[in-house]
Amino acid sequence: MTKQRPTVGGLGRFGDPGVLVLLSLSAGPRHGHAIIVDVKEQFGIQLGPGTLYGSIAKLVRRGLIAPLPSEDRRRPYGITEAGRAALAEYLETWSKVVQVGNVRLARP
Amino acid sequence: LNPRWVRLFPRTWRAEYGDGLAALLEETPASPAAAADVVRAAVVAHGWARPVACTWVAAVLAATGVEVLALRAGISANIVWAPTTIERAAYLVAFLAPLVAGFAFTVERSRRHRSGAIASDRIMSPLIVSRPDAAGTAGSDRPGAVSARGAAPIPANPDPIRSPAMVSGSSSPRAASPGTGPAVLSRRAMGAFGGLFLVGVVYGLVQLLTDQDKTSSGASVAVANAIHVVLLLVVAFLTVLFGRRRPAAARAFWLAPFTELGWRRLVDAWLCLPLAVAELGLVLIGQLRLVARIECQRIRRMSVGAAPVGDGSTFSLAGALDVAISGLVSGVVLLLAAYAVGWAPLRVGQQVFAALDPDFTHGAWGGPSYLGTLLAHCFDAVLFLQLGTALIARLSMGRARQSARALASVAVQP
Repeated sequence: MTKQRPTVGGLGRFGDPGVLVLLSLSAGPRHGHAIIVDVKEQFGIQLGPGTLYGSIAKLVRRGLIAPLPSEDRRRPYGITEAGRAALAEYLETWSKVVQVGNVRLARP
Repeated sequence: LNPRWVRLFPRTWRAEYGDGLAALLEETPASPAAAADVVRAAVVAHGWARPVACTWVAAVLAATGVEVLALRAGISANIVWAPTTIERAAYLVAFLAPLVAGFAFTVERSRRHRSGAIASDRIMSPLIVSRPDAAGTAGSDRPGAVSARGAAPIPANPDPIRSPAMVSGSSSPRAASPGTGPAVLSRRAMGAFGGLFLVGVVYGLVQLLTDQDKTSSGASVAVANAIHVVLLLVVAFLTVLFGRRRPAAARAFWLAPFTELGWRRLVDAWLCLPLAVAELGLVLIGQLRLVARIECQRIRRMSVGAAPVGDGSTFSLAGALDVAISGLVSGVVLLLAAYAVGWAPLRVGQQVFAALDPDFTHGAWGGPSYLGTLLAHCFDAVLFLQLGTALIARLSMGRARQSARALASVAVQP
């Protein structure tokens, strides 16, 4: 069994929902509902409300995203520099995996 | 989805994310999948909020799993005892490993808390450990004393017992009810319970060493175990329900046996019957003033602050007789309750070593496993401790009020 390499901010330890949230927020600050809509539109994945806020809480705790001031109940969140770095490292790792996978699958 | 689902999450979590999630739930179409997702996230959030408790639950479950597997595999009759074979030694290590890990995690977590490495978002329990002074009263619960955490001064009479003048119709305001302030733990109470536990440990060790019969009868305890599981669920449900509605009162209830007032009530419960017998004798020989003095001292002990002052010179024969006879009746019940309270830590202590004997666990509630028996006995002990303490509180307060009423009609100064 392959052990996940600890990445910046420990992103690799909690998997997809956190990455999807970071990817959504990398385009700009969003509140919960907007993140769900964006993830659904961009990736075709439906995040549940509990899953989303569980991921948000973890990402905030790790300093990868941060709440932004709002007068509305729907508080927006923005990605931090640490979050961008963690996401970049995560994507770089997986881009290699995807690249190698595509090459091998393309072989007859 | 109904935004009330947010209540499933821990309070500290809700303070940070509750509004946002509630707004999101209002916009989320209701479906079983969405509800299940919220419940799952709430369970995870509770786990994150209580890492030590979760670790112990996991450790106990893991140890129990090891026990069940060992029992099924026939490695052990019931318990981890005498690792005479490699299998039993491995079983012993596997059984103890999660518990040791849980303990290590708790210690490490506590150390990091103390050093400030972990910024806890949970408020520490506002406990104050009292140190008895020369007069025998807890230092921090003297009238006007300020708690160690700088809380407001403790009122002069935090106990529901009113002074005799108040009982007899005075317009003075009723004293503050218990459970509204920080619990004052008693070193004497904790020392006594700890001592009883140690006595139980020694008694269990002697029992183990002197018992030569290591065979087990294999008696079925399935019904008792089922009753314990149901009882545990009921208690857990009531604790959560009551704790959410009245957290301060719930905390006061669970800490009651270990508080200074709880300790005084327990001592009073032990002494009630012999004192009532003595009082009856004093009444019969006409020493009413002495009876009044004993009752004054009782009220002074129980009421912490205000107490009746009087010489009982006009204490009526009927009043004294009433106090003494009712003391005989309530004294019997109080003695039984005090016995139950004292028996609880003794029984848990006995379990530590005595349960290493298969005979102990096979017929015991929670058996045949060591861990199951330990849990069942601890649960029983907590129930006996709490119910006995509650009964003592109710009866001793009633008795003190009755004495106060009898004394109020005579020479009493509030």
